[in-house]
This record gives sequence, C-alpha cells and structure tokens, in this order.
Amino acid sequence: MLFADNVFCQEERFVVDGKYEDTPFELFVKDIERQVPVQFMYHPQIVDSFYVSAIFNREPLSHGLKRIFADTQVYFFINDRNQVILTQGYQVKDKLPINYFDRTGLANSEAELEVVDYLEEEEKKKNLQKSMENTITEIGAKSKIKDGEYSNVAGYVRDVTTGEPLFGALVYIDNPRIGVATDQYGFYSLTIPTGKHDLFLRCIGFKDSKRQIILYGKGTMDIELLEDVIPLKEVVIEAEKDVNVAGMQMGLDKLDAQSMKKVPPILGEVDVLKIALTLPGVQTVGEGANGINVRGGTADQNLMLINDATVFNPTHLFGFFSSFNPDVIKSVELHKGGIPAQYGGRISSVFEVQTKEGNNRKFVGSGGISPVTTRLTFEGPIIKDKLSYIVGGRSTYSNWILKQLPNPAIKNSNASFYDFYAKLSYDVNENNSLYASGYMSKDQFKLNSDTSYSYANENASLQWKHMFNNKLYGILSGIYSGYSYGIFSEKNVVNAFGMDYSIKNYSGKADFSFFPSSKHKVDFGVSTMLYALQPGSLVPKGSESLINEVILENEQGVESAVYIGENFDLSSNVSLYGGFRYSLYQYLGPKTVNEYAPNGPIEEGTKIGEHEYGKNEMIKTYQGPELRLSAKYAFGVQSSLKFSYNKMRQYINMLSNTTSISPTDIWKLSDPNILPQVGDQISLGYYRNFKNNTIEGSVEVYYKTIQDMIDFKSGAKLILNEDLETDIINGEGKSHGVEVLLKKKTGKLNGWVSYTYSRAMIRSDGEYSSEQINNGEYYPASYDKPHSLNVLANWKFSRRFSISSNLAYSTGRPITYPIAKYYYNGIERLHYSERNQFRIPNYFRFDLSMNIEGNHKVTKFNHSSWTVAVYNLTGRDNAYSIYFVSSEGKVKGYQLSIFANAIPTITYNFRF
Amino acid sequence: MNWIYIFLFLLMVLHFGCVEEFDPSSKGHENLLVVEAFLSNDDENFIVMLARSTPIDTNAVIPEWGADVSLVSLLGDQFDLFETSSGTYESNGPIYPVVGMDYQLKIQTRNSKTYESKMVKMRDTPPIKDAYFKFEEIPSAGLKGVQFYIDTEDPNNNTWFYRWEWEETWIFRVAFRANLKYEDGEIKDREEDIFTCWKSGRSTSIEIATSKNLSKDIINEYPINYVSSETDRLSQRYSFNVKQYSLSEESYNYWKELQKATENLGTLFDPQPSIVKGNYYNVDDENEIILGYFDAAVVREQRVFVNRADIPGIKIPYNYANCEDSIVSKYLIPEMDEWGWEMIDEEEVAPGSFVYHFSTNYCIDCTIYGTNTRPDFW
Repeated sequence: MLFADNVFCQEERFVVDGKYEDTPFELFVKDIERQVPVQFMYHPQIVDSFYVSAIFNREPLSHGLKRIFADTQVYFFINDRNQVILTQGYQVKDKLPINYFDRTGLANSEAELEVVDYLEEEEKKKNLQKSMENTITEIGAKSKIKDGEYSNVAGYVRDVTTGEPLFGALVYIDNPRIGVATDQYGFYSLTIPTGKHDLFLRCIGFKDSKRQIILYGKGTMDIELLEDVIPLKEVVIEAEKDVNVAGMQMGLDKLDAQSMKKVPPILGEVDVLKIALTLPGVQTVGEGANGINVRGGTADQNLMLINDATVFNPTHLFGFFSSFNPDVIKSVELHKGGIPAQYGGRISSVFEVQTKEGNNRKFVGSGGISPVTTRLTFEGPIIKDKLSYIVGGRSTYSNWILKQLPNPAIKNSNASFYDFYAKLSYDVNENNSLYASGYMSKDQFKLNSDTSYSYANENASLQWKHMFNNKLYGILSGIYSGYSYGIFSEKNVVNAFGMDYSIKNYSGKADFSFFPSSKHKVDFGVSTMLYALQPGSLVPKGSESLINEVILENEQGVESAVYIGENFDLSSNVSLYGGFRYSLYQYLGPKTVNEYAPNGPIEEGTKIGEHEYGKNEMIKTYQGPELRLSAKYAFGVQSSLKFSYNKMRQYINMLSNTTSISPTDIWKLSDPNILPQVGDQISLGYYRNFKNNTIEGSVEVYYKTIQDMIDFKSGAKLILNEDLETDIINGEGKSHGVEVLLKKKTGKLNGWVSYTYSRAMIRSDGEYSSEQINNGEYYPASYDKPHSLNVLANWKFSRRFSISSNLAYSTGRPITYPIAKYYYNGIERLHYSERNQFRIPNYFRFDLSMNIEGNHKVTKFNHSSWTVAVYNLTGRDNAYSIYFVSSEGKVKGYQLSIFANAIPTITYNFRF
Repeated sequence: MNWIYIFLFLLMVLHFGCVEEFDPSSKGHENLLVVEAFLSNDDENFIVMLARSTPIDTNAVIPEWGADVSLVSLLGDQFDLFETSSGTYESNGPIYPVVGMDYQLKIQTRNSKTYESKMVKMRDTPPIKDAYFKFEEIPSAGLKGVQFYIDTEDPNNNTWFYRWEWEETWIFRVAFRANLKYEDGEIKDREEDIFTCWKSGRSTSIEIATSKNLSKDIINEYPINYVSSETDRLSQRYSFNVKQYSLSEESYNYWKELQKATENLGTLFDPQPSIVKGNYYNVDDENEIILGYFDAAVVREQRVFVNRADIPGIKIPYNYANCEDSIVSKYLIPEMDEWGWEMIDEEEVAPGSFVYHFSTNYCIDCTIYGTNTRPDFW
C-alpha cells in the first residue's frame, strides 16, 4: 500500500494487543474499540468479506492497521477526534512520496507525469487485484465440511472495467486439478470438493488472478478480472498457457482482438479473414480472393458465424476486405477439426466471430481512419450493470476518392461499402439475460455508368439465456440471416434488365449446457432452420426492354438437428469427448423438379419429365447421424496426444466455377439431383509446451474425405439456370496434411511459425463420360498448395513502439494450362485439356508494420495509436494467375499480379 | 459479367496490380487434328482446311495433307473435295447448299483414320437490319473514334443466335506522289500509282450474340468494333463490311466456350478454361479430340462507309508527318539511288535546268503498307 506511508507521520497514541484468525472485520473493530478509545468509521461495503488474520503484540494501532491493510485498497486515517476513517480506492495525491521516483528511476519531466499516470493506474489495479485476491468468499450455506464431498460453484467472469463477459477464461483449482473454461457468455460451472480453495483465473488479455473461497455448498460467485495494462495495450497473453496441452480441443485456432492487431494490416485494414490465412491449414486461391479454404475444403464449406448467425458473403469490395469490423470483434474461433456436436451444416470448418458486448459501466468509444475506411464504435450502459449497448459502423470513402480522380471513366464509376453492427445485452436478473443483435453489410459498385451491382448481408438475432440452476443453463435463440444481390443495367434500352438473387434463413434453436460433476460437461440442444431462396429473377427495365422475364421458382428447405455432446475426464491423463448429432433435411415444395432417365447421365437429353410438388410437400429428405469424437491423453503437464473424428453433412452449397468466388455466385439447396455433401475427418495431434509453457508447439495430421463434393462440368452455366443439375457433378474429395505450429505468446519477441504440408484432391468419376473430369482421375483442387509457411513475429521495443512482421510462402496454386495451339478462322486459339495440371510460380510475401502508441496519460481524453505498415515489402509480383488470350489474332501469355509493389499505408486508431 | 472491367478499374484506382506479358513455354503437347470448314451459300468453292495443332511455344502451321475429304447431304448427295495446296481441300465449284438440308463432312486422313462431323442443318440467316456507327469517346483511354453497331432482327422469331465477322478497308495516301522513277540508269515515268492505297483488316475476336432471353428475336446495338483515332484508319474514308451468320444453339455454345477459354480471361473471377468440344469425332475412337466445328448457314452482308466529313472534331494521326524530300542535281541521282532513295519528281528551276526531288521508299510507296489495287466496292 504505497500511499499509506504518510500515516507514519502521525503521532502514536493507541497501543493495542490481540490475536485474530480469519476474524470478520466487524468483530475485529469491536475488539479494538473495546481496547482503545477510537471509533472506526467506514462504509460496510469496504470491508465486506474481509477477514483479519494478525497478531498485535503491544504495538501502535497504526502499525497493526498498516499490516492488515497492506496489499489491499483500503486506506485509513486517524484524525484528531480519535476517529479511524477507512476509505477505499485510489486518491490522487498532490505530491508524490519522496521515494517514488527512486523506484521508477525516471527523471522529472513531462514524460514523468505520463509515467506516473501509468504507474498510478497500474498501482491502482494491483491494489484492487490484491484486495480481490485476499478476500475470502464463503459459498453455500455454512455447514461442516466433510471430506470427499463435492459441490458446485457457478457464475460469470467479467471484465472489471467494462462489465463485459469473458469468453474462454480458465477457472480452476490446483488440488485436485479441476477446471473449466467460460463459455461465450462468460459463464462457468465448476464442481469441486468442498472446503477452502484458491480458485485460479486466467484469460487472454487479463491479469492472472485467484480468489480464495470456502465452499460449503452449492452457490454462485461472479468474478471480475482486470485487463492487463489497459492504456498500453501491452499484449501479454499469459492465460491459456497450457490450454494447448491440457485442453481437449484440437484443430482449433483462436484469435482475439489483441493478437489480430499484431498482424500487419492490408491496405490499412485489420482483417480477420486475412489473418486466418496465417494459421496452419488455411489457404486461399490468391490474394484479394474471396473466401478461405480450410483443410482442403471449398470456401462454402466453412460455416461463417457472427453471434450464431450465418454470414453468406463475408467480404467487401470483391473480396479485398472482410466485412467484419475489427472494432466490434471480441474473438474469432476457427474449428478445423474435432468440431463439437453443436455445430453442423458445413463440412470443413466453423469460423465463429464473437462480437463484443457493450461496456455496462461507462460510455466509451473507439475508431480509426485508414486509407480506405473510417470506423467508429460506441458502447456504454443504458442501465448500469444491467443493460448495455454497442454500436459499430464502418464505411469507405472510396467513392469520394474516385470522384477526385481526373479520369472521367473512373469518375463515372463508383464503389462503396459499409457495415453496421449493434447489440443490446440485458441482464434481467441473476438467472435471465437477453441479447439482441443486428448486423448488416452492403456493397455497391457501378462501372463507367454501365452495369450496377450491389450485394448485402443482413443478420438479426434474439437470444434468451436462462439459468435453471448452477449446473444447467439454456439459451433460446431466434436468428435471421439473409443475403441478396442485384445487378442492374440500362445502357441498352432493348436489353435493359434487373437481376436479383436472395437467400433467407430463419432459424430457431435451443442449446443447453449441463455440468453434472467436475468430470462431466454435457451440451445438448435442438435446432431447426428454414431456408427460403429466390434463386434468380431477370426482369426487363423500362418500357422498351424486350428482356423476357425469367423468374426461377423459389426453393425452400428445412434443416433440423438434435445433438448431445459430453466431455468426460476419465482420469487426470485421459479425457474423452463424445458427440452425436442427427441432422434431417427436407426439400419442400412448391417446386417443379426435373426428372431424368434413371439409367443415364443427368443431361438435357435425358430429361424425361417434370414433377410438380405442392406447397410444403416433401420432395426429398436427407438425413443421417454425425458422430464427433475426441480423446486426449496427457503425458504429464508438458505434452499430450489428441485424436478426433468427425462427420459433417452439408445441405446447402455455393455454386462457383470461377477462380475466386464472386459476389454473384449463388447458393443452392440440395435437391433430388444435387446430393448433400458429407465430410469425414480424422486427425491426430501431438502437443507440447516448452520453457515453462511460454512456447507451445503442436503437430496435427488429418485425413479427410468428402462424398458428393460439388464439381462442375466444363463451361457450366450457374446463373439463371433452370436445369442446374445438368451442369453439376457429384464428385468426391479427399485431402490430407500435416500442420506444425510453434507459438511464443509472451515476451518482447512473440509470434508464431506455422508450416503446413497438405494436399486437396477432387475426383469426378461418373458412370458416363460427361460426368468425368480429367478422365475420372483425382486432380488437385484449385486451392491445393502443398507447402505453406507463415512466420508472424512481433517485437516490442518499448511500451509505445512495436514492430510486427509477417512472412508468407506457399506453393503456387494449380492452373489449367494449354497443351496445344492452332489456327481457327485465321486466329490463334489454345486448347486446354486436363484441369489443374500445372502451377503458377510459388508465392512469397513479407509485410512489416510499426505500431506507435500515443501519449499514455490515463486522464487524457483520447488514447491514440498510429500504425504504419508496408504490405509486400519486397515488392515481389506474386502471380495471381497466368492466363492466355487471343488478341489481334495471336495468343499472348500474361501473368496477373494483384499487389505487384510494396503498398505502404498509415492508419490512425483512437479510443475515448 | 463485366469482371474484366471491374478488375481493370481496380488496377487503375489502386495502382498496385500489374499484368505482365510473357512468352509461354510448352508443358507437354497433344497433337490434334484441326478441321476448319464452313458451308455457305456464296459463289465460292467450299473449302476445308486440315492441320495439326502445335506446341504452344511453336509458330508453325502443320497442314494435314493427303486426306480424302467429302461433303455428303442427308439425301445422299456427295461432293468430293480436292487438295489444292497442302492441307487445303476445295470443292469443284460452288456447292449452293439447300437451306434446311442436313450436311455432313467426312474425312479420311492419309494414315487411314476416319473422321466425321455431326449432321448439320443448313440454316437461313435474316438480313442485317442495320449496321451503323456512332461517334464515341472512351475517356478512360483518351480515345475518340467511331463505334460500329449491328441491329438485326428475325421477324419470324426463328434465329435467336448470331455470329458476325467483319472486314475493314481504308484508303490512305503517302506523302509524295512520285511521277518519275530512276531505273537502270535512266529516269522513267512511273506508270503504276503508288500514291493511293487500301489497307484491309478483319475481325480478330469472336462476335456472337443471342436474343434468347428477349421476347422478340431482336439484336439491338450490338457493339461490334471500335475504330479509334489512335490509327490512321479514319483519315479519309473507311469501309466496314459485316457478314452475319445464324447459329444453332449448339454452335453458339461452341463459340461462347471458345471465347471464354481464349479471350475473356485475366480477371479475379476467371472460369476454368476447359476443352472446347466441337462436333467432329473419330469414327473408331470416341475419346479422340478433334478441334473445330462444322457449320452451315446463309451469309448476309452489309457495308458501311465512314467519310472524314462524318466525324469532324477528331484528330487522326498522319503516318507520314516525318517525310521530307531532298532536292539534288542530276549528278547526284545515281548516288541517291544507291543509298536507297526514291525519285519523286523533277523540277525545272531555270529553263532547261532541272533538279530532282527524292524521298525515302516509305514516303512515296504505299504498297509497302497496303495494296494499290482498288477494291471493287470502293
């Protein structure tokens, strides 16, 4: 207790005696007041649950009190009227103690004050922390503690400054080693032996802490954690140090807001999808390309979620930016394997974005300005500690930039986007919480006054969380997700048209978590979702347009699932997870379905008729169990071996036969002719931590097969096609790989190195030649890049200055290469044969960024930082594609690079 | 889909992308038969060209010589073709195919492989409704010029798929009209006109369109070619001749695929280039790939002229701006000749005293760049 030193200056009048052991403070006060003529004055809250353990051996009262309050936030002052006044919290002193700067060793200057501010803040926190840690909390009705009896404690873990629940915080006791991680609502439920425990707490970005508890019986305890070094954003990821080894999960990558900021931004934007590409097992077809490919899966096989709502197109500006505003993201989880039973519907991965909840203590804001966008986020309480909001928006000024360019063609073009996110969190009472959130993103572009394009995502969700008791809670959710795009052209009056596409998804689900004992955790739930698609409409625009109206019949389907998953710690070394999900998909009328001759290929020529189905008539049902299994064997605390198997079913597919998925690609439900995709994956991993858990390493191998993978016939027409199935092949996929990750989370130098060797192959070996690609042989998928290396390093030179770098290397992606040239009609043409048999040159990129924090004065209204980044520092012109074009009668070869130069950007971020 | 423009636009705006040309190297080669045959109703011989494909880094035409080629109709009429030059096979006079009749091409190569085309129906083609041009600017490229458009229509709503080829011809003049020439040590009159010439070019990209998604069989304002002020084409008079062919849906798809695989590439959203399947097959081996598509249709033509007066306010580059003449006395004529200069004319500077104007070959002889044969339509 630093600032209590001045009490020494006071005269000592009272000498006290006594022995106290875990004595409630009130009793202690009574005892002292009996001995000496003093009167204690304090607010009872200050000493709530404060127990005194001390021996006073005929010593001055101030000495004794100093000892008791050491390491707490309680200050005392004995005034002339013999009153002992207790205060809590930090007081700003006019003068610093003399020895203050001896300790810090810093000079007297303006910088001093800043440091003082910082240190004061730190000190304040340290004191707060200590006071929390020294408080002993009694849980449950007091009774005699029996050996071997277990009881349950549950509650929420929150950020002390914002009141925001913390996701993934570890809550555990050491003896016996029992622990859990909080869920996305910050909830934990722990069943441990009754008695006295130190309850340890760890969470990324927060100070490690502990709470002393005496557990008598079932009860609740909410815990608040201190953010680690708030004004400096010093990233010390100490929490979860041994999660890598001790945790059950495999194939899981987790990114939090802090670690995302360490990755050099692209065009000034912190982009979660681009950062995901630095993780092992995540690929893309090229820079600037839409979508990610996880462990050999296509881009649509990733379940992209924002607060449980599906996002169908997570990108802006043709894929250059992701549509997730970094300021509202709390964390991102990418499940590549060992996917728990509560997730389903996509076969490759789950990419889950958790957004922040509003600060329920005070109003704060943050934002940033980059060359492309401006961001602004506000959050604050509506009812303190009960109801809070967060609102974040992002918009580009590319339109304004375009208008400034002298080139008239560009002047007449426009491209703009924005995204908007809002969430309300309401803690109705101890057992009930409500959450409402909405998200939308919209893109528009028009090129040289010709055709305009627009696309939009819209999501809304309403969730009610109810605690039945300490061991069981449930969440009821109603979610809407929508995606639509439109194309509009009226340059040629006869051909003027508007084209629209939309998909709407309504889902309801109930998820429950049950903690029957310390060794078990059970998740179970049901869900159902309705898909309503308008697969395309083409309508004339204007009276002169002759465009035939084409309105494809709506499609609808219902996907339902029940699941149960259980975590079970068999022994201290062996943990098991068993999950079972049963999914049922029904393709519903009204719809006219094409029928094809049973013993022939699905082609226009073999179409034998149509069958009309009435409203809500069942057209086709697909269903099946999905097994999810994981096992962990720990070799002590340093290393473990994990295994997982999972089966996934996917009933909705995005159809895209272009290199990169485009905003105008369509989603299609499985129907009688287009079968659902089924994925099976097994993986095995070895995890080991080094150097006292500061370095964690893992090696994972996986093997995955995909049945009825969607493949396309050459020249497939996907938009406004009434007979889509004639252009699609139900192929099969297989992929395998080894992923090595070495991660150093702490220290001045931190970061990770990931290396992946992987292959992703597709085979379309139909019975008929029209259903064969490359003669029915396996061929590499266009995102098959066997070698991939990423090195991400962050050097922290001082609290205000850090440098981050990112190195990316990968094998070039496969392309289809011409194998013959010929003249036709006087013009050189090329003949292509087998798909993806050659590769573009290997990819290499090095990025560097510098983060400069502004003034650290805590009292300063505004905390700001600058990020100066150079993307592709070496200016290497990495090939995005190699292609050939007949132009003026001759074939010419071209290499297209997206970023052929070093791209410097500067971003300004602020918080207030 | 205008992805190409989107992409170019992005490159322009953000100035970081880059497209580099390179010489492709061959990575394996399949030697395939290429058959080029189009049956039309014009007064020309029916010509079939047979060749072999080459590796992509090779510049050669390898004719397929010594084959037997014939055209048969559904009624059994047979027209044999004769090899007039290596790989080129011609009918003995025009064939005048019957509209509505099915025809098939049969080929037997010298190594006794038998190929056939599918039976193809000779289609009628509606006349071009209008071919015309508009003065248009392309500000992004800083160009001015004329954009040619096609309007066409089938009142019977029976065609739906169209293809066009065009041929351009323009007249140009060199810097100096040379009346004299120096040949064999003598000054002679130049009989041949090498001052005025014509130059021709033809379409180098696939021009197809469909009215399939319209309620009437109408093509409105199909932009077929843009002639800019970058070249001297519009300097005096410019002729644009369009040939229109009807297509079947199948042949339309063939051209569309060929276009996709060889012209519309280079974007972020390229489709997979793939085999473009024609309608020839090996009778004994269904897996053999033969390049080309046999088609038959009536041809319709229309010619448009653009005169300099039609496009005021446009600056056309003059290719001979740098031409100068040199004047020498008669004593220097042999030397000038030796240096490769060409005589333009003589000039009488004083009675009986002549000097001679010379200039370079390029400045007086238009046949270096074009032909001085006046086209029939001019």
